[in-house]
Amino acid sequence: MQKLNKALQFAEWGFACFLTLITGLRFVDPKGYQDPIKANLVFLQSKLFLAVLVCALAILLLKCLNEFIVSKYTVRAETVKFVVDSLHKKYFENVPEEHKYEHRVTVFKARKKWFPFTDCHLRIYSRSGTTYQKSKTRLIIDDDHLELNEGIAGWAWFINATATKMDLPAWPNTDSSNSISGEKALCEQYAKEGRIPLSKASSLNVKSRSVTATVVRTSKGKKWGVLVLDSRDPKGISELQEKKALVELSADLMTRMV
Amino acid sequence: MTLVKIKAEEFTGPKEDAGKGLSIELSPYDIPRDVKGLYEKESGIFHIDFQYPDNEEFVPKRWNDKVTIKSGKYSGKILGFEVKVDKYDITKLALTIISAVDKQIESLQKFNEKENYKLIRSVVDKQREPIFADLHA
Repeated sequence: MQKLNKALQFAEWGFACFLTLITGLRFVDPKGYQDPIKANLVFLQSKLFLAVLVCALAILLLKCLNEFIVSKYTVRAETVKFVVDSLHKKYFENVPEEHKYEHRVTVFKARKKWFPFTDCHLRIYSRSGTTYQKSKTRLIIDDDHLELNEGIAGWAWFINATATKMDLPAWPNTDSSNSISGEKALCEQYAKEGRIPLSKASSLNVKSRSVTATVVRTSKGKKWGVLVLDSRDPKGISELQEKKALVELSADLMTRMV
Repeated sequence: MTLVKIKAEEFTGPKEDAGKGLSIELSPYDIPRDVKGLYEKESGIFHIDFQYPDNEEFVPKRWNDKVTIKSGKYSGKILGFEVKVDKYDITKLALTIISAVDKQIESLQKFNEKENYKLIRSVVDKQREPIFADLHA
């Protein structure tokens, strides 16, 4: 959204420059130029009013679009990021600073099925910290078939509730496709317990050992996405009531933003 | 009108084990924060409304001549009840609701709906006196 914001600003500046140029065209004598510049100058001078009007309207439209739509989404994304970072800071406050990166908070947003050959899926909307912000992780979701939902996040989406998985097996340090049978079995066990296809599990940047996921709804009660806390520690997700309350509060705050 | 605060921990059960170390529990969106009881003397209807963190619209589900369940449009959770009052008998009214909820639970498929119905049943059962206090006001 920030990229779109910048692109719209550039387009707006472009039109502003063009507007200045075409306004100055009335003082230019086409006779002093050769074709095709001459023909274009004559054409623009004959349609000067229309060109100025189109430019002015385009600038106005871009400004409105940026101000009332794109900026709103940008602010919303920034606020969600703030909530996500705050939750990460508070939830994992007892974790030493050098190990903080091993624990993450991520908000996934559900994307609808636009075409028959595409899937409904969860995509990263906001993530704590600075690493893997642009991760392409997509988890397939399905409201009618439990087995089609991927990951603990997909499970939470399907049951429209909170799902927690602790003690996921450690992922071997080798690639599952090249590993020996014992390691391959571990990879398969990881994928099975994490409810994710093996190929997708292999491609994950971080192989979490404990995960909790809770559905995020809009203020109207419609499912919007999933809030996920994951850790490389097999016991990284706390059972304490106060920590659960933090997650609930964060989900509640997101409901007021999305 | 009476307003009763609901302490979630008194009504929510332990995490449900979904096998292989996966535990599932009700989302905070499906746990009511408080419940309102209001008796309309003119119509003879007692309204029970549960307050949740969100503002979901309801769809009325007529259970029988006496009870209508206000069901969440998207989540299916219970947002309230409308009960026709024949006698000013709190126990009987509470049992009418509990019986309607019990019958509904059997047919529910979704986890969140089922758990929410169980929770609401428990709230109506344990808090019947304060909820129906407006009946004798």
